[in-house]
Amino acid sequence: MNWLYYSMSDSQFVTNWAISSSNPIRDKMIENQAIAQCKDGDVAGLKILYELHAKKIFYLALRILSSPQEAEDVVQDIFIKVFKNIKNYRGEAAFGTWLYRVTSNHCLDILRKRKKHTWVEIDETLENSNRINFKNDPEHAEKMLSPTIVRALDQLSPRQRICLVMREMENLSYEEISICLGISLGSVKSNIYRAKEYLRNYFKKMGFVGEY
Amino acid sequence: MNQDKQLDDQIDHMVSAYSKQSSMETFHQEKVWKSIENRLNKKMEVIHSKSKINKYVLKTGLIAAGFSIALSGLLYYRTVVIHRNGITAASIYLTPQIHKKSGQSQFLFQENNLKLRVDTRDFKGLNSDPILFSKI
Repeated sequence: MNWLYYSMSDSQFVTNWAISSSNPIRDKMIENQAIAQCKDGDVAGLKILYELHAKKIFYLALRILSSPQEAEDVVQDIFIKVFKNIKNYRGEAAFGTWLYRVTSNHCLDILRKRKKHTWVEIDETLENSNRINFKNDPEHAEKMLSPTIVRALDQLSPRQRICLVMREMENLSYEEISICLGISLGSVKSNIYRAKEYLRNYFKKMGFVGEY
Repeated sequence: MNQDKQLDDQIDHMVSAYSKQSSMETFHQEKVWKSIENRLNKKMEVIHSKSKINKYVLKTGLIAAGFSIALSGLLYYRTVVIHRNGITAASIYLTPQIHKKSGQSQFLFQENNLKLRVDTRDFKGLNSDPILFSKI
């Protein structure tokens, strides 16, 4: 029955149906149909792809950029890019993988631009939170964990940061990261290794050792 | 060696806390989609060139009001739409930032990294005009 409705032109219905579907095969069919619609310049197709993937893109961008505002802007830009460049998608990789690649490259550009200037976000006022004592004040420590790691992540190179986020937070395999970023497996591994090593030294400098 | 292991555990813990906290952020799916639709339907225009910014913003003297909106408007939807005589003239993406040493504020045009600086004192007493500006 759903399939009959799927062929109707009511994009809103298709969208709602797509979200509620827990069947990956049907999702894939809907996705393929939506891609075809997009290639024909139909915004309704983009809406379906948006409903299927926007959240994932948002959270990936958020973890890479540590800014919900920027992450929402990234989602906007990515889906505009998708609509304009969907003809370049030839279906060699899964659409989700292609989307991850576009997103990670976009985030990489943003991180590189960030590195160029010395301005900081207005709400970054964590100068006094350098030392966290896990043993004596675990509640405070929990609160400070996230901003502290954000500051540490800011010190990594854009490539290291994206590799680390994809591996440790998105749980992608080395192979998947390699495909997404278009870099070799060895490069993925060394970026993650260096990122972790940097974090270790960073936290050592902050006097974290032995306080947990 | 034991200390290194402890440190690694701490880092894992922090990464996990960060990841968990990220998951709790709200994604404003409908509003972001509305912006995408508007951009695709050319109802909004993203300013790419400095000349356009001059034309639409600087020369009309509306930039201070625009900043005021961005500040009071939660810094959330950084897409600010500029209306002129009731017609949408342009939309700009703003990244609010503050300089580490001077405390001076600036808004960064995200699309092309143009920087426009404004003294934070300018914000005081500014009444943004809802007819001229609106957030998406």
